[in-house]
Amino acid sequence: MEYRGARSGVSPTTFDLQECELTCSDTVLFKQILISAEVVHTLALTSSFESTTLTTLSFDLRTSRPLGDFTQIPSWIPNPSQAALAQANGEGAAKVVWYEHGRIRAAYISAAGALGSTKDMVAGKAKLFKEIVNTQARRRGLILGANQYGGVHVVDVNQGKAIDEFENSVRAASIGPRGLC
Amino acid sequence: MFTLTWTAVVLLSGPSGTTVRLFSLEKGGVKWEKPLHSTAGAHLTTPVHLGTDVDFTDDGSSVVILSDGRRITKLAMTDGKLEWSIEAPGAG
Repeated sequence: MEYRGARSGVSPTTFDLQECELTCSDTVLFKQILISAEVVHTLALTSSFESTTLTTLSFDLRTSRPLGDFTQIPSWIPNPSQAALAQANGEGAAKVVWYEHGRIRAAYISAAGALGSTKDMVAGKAKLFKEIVNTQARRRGLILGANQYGGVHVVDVNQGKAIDEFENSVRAASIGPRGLC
Repeated sequence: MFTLTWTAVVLLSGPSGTTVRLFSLEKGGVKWEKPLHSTAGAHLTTPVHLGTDVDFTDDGSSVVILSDGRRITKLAMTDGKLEWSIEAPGAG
């Protein structure tokens, strides 16, 4: 990845409040952002001829300075809606959550934008899910996984397990002052 | 696309989120409005909301906006003043 300021002669280390540009060679569409402490995490869809995979890039919230390079996540995304950024435990960290072959997978992104471990959510229940549903609950580390029978699991991405389950009404789930409702 | 905080509603409108408006949740009026990118150069996506997102800093002083699937902009919540804006030209 090449990094350059929009104005000639702008050093990458001194571009506060100035318009900048990032360039990369792949076809990338940024899908989501998530602020975690002093870090802005971005989730992008990287498209090639055969498949779509996930990429992340993190920025300093105060200066917009990129924290490292694009990070490729080993993944295969059938549908752009089936991937999300969720809040993770740890100062400035985030988790990328996505649906793949009936399972919900998650990858840890550190405050420095580095890729950590990748694992299945709700371990031991392979091919349980039909899709994940994006809600604002992801900003509190919760995502919804719908199974093929109409049930919906509330999955805590940090615990890696379902913490609640309900039937239908998946589109109405949201976070309120008293928690999930 | 709209996003709610405890005191305001942030509304993105136009192709790929060309314009952001902040409405007071209490009075309903527009507090400020900012263009994020030109309508002519907007990248259309399917579904239409793909490539747009909004999040807020923990202290509620700023809003960070993803628009056009490639531009990330940080604005002050009080008056919409630009704090920074970056773009990834590889997007499309």
